[in-house]
Amino acid sequence: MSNAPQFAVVGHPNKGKSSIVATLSLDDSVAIARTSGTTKQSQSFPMKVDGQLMYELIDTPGFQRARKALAWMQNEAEKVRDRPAVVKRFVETWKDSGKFIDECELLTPIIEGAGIIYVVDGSRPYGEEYEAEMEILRWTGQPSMALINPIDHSEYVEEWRTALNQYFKITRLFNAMTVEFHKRIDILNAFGQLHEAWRQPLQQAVNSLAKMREQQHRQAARIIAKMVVEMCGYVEEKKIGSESNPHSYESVMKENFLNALRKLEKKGRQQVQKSYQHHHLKSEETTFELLGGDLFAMKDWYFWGLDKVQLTAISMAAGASAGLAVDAVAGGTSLLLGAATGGFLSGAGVWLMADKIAKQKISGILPLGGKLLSFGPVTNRNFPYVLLGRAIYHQKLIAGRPHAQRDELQLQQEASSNWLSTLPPEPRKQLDKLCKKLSNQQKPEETQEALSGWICQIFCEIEENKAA
Amino acid sequence: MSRDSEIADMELHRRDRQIGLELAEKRGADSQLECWLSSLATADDKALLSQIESGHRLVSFGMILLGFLLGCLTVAGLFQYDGAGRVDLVWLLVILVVLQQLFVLLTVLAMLPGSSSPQQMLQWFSPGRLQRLFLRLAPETERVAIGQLLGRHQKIFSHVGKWQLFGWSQLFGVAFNSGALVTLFVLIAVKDIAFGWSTTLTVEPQAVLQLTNFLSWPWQGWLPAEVPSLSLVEASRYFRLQEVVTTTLQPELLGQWWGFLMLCLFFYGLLPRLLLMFFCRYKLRRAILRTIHYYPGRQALFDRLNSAIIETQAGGVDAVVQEPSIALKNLEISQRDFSNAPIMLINWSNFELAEKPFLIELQQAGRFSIKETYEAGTNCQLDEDARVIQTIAKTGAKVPVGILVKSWEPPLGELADFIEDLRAATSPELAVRLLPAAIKSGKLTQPDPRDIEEWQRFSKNLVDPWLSVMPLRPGSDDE
Repeated sequence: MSNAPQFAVVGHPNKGKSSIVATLSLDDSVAIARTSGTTKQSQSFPMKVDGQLMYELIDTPGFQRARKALAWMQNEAEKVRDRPAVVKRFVETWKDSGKFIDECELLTPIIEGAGIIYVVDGSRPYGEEYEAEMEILRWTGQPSMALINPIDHSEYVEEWRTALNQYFKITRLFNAMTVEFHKRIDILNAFGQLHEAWRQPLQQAVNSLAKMREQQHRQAARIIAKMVVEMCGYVEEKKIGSESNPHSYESVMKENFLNALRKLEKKGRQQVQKSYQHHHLKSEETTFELLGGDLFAMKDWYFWGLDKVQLTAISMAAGASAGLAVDAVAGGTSLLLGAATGGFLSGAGVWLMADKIAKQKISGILPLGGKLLSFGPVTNRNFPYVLLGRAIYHQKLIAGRPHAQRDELQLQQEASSNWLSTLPPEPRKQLDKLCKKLSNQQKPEETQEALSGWICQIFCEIEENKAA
Repeated sequence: MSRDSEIADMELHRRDRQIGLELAEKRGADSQLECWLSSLATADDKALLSQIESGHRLVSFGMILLGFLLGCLTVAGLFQYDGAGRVDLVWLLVILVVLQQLFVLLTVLAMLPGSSSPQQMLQWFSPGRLQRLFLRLAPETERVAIGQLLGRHQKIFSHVGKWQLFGWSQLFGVAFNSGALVTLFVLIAVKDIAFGWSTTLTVEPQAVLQLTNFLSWPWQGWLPAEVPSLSLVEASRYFRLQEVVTTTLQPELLGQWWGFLMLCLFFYGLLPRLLLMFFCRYKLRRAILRTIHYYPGRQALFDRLNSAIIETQAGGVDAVVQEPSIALKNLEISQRDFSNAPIMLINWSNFELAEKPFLIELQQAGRFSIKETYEAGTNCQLDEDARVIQTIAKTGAKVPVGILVKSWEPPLGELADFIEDLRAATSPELAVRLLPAAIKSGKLTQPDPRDIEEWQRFSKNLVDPWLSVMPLRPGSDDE
């Protein structure tokens, strides 16, 4: 038999026990509803690392007849020391009777040695009717802690804290719907404090979860890097007959091209969601419309990427470097005119073409006759910045989303400032270099790997900042 | 890795982690990859590998054979000598040195990075393309296997394909020059060949000597005997109208060119091709390593090998969910009030009813007048609940009963038991109304509609026609 600690999540019905289990077990398939009594039977959520059980969370139904159960127990127990045995006898007596079904179900893991995680709703006032169930839990003699889950608001948290402190050694605030990853880890550490023997497996579990988080970041970074490289290099091609007029295909090809890119972005997002174990987000929640509108809404490009002035500045710098090479050859006789001219020409070109997405090209006669029309790749220098901005923002929301959340993904609520302005100088410089390579289609494999590393670094920094 | 795309992520992680645990001591990425490949290699993979090897051997052998034969034939053709005339040195140098150097130059141009149209055109003339011809002789399986190696199915293999084709071209070149050298040696051994040079242009022997000295540069330091002398150059010149060979011209001199020719063939034919062949092998190896390094899914594989499988979810069994037995849309909140009739109020909410204004507020909200108030539920003792039931039963249960409950707390089994006991002790037709109320600072507030739905559902689930729900809302009397 395994010595891994078990934790029974217990409480009044409809106080968010299942939400807490869903968030702690990273399982977005746990049934959560506003309806009370959603959970009718206990369900185990074992946490295993390479098949080895670290701990087990047990979601239980809520107390339905706590007063009656306590009255029975009080009647049975003569001495304080008898109480745990009386609770055990209660379960044995009533288990198959059809009465006290919920109490027997939730007390069974506790009398078998599980720690108690008692959950209350901090958005509803404390009531004396809770005392009977807290008393029963105290009678079990098992290590316990209380979690205040403020489902709607935090108005009654302090009131609850005062009451719970009289029954539980540890009381924590834990909002299953908004809690960040590091706070989930903190709660697991707190579980470990309940019993000396539980500390080590919980610590091991916490370390493993931290590593899993890093791996999720790496995986998401790879997905995003691959998506961005694919999208930046994507070309829509069509073979047409020699007699056909290429211009008649222009609008269709453009539409196909844009749709293909939209699909690639959507596919990438779905993969990112999967990598953070959000398997049940509805498909409509992941469409591009939710994330700052359509991918090709040019007005949004300046929000997600560089604005026209920044774009021009970057191109001028690149043009000036090329011009400097000319000056170097001229041995100074050009009085840096090469750099000035190169910078001006590049900058002016980008300023004029800033709103253009891609070029259409007709290649020569094909070996078997006909012509090859191609649309793309996207030539706009801003495109990689826009894609990355959208993808990183999406990942931020997904990575921070607790698995208890069932509402729609609100992709627009936090995007208040341009993400590029928040980057420190060195990562920004690296990003500019990578985006230049992406725009120029230089060594896509190497660029993809470098980009993946860069994105992963950004994800880890975001996580660290949140924890700090 | 291509096959893995069809396997679910978790299953893939399980499989690879198992392998990863077994090779925990292998730290290097390459050795891990090698072990991973060998542990997953199926009979088909091994067969594919042997097909690639056999196809590769076939093409390489074909290149060597064809190159060698062509080299033999070329030299045999150039050295056609009937014993009367002379073998023209100019032609020999043009074909064996100049032309070969030109081909080497074009090969180097084609090898340069990039894929411009001229480069693609040059590659089209590469002898490596003869591989298609040889593969026609091979079974279908070998053809497909080599096709995969040359990257016809995946873009990432394009560099491997490029350097493999160049490698075969150089192998062909090496074989050609080897064949030429062997044939030259045999011909020299078995025939007495007289070499000569001739041109219509006015070229002095000194100019030819300069050319031969230039060509002899690689070996003039250590094989000076094989550097043609002025006397040899002069002696080898012949004119169209001149008699074949005169005795005064020292005919034994005319055969001395063979050493020079063989060294020219070695240094300007065989050696560059050998160097290019080794360069192509180096580049091919680099391309293979690069392909492996950037192969899609490689990093993900290492993550799977080296990251523990963490399971936190309920495995297999679906979450047990009790669907609400009453659909929300069918719920109707009772619109009938008590029309200010007297009721017996059971306080199941533990609300403080001692305050008169609150009692008045309650009565106004429910349009009832409280005849009697009883305390039950919540923190009361169970025998108090029983006493309340007995008291109501004794009254004959003619006055409707209202049960005041906290709207925000979910209805519990205890209340259901109480209603059942009350019903059993009184009349099946006693009107019982659940009165969910929300209070704040001792005053009624609007209950949350979601909470009221919960009470409605509870009431319906009890299947009691005389049980209903009437939420108490502040100011109901004004409506």
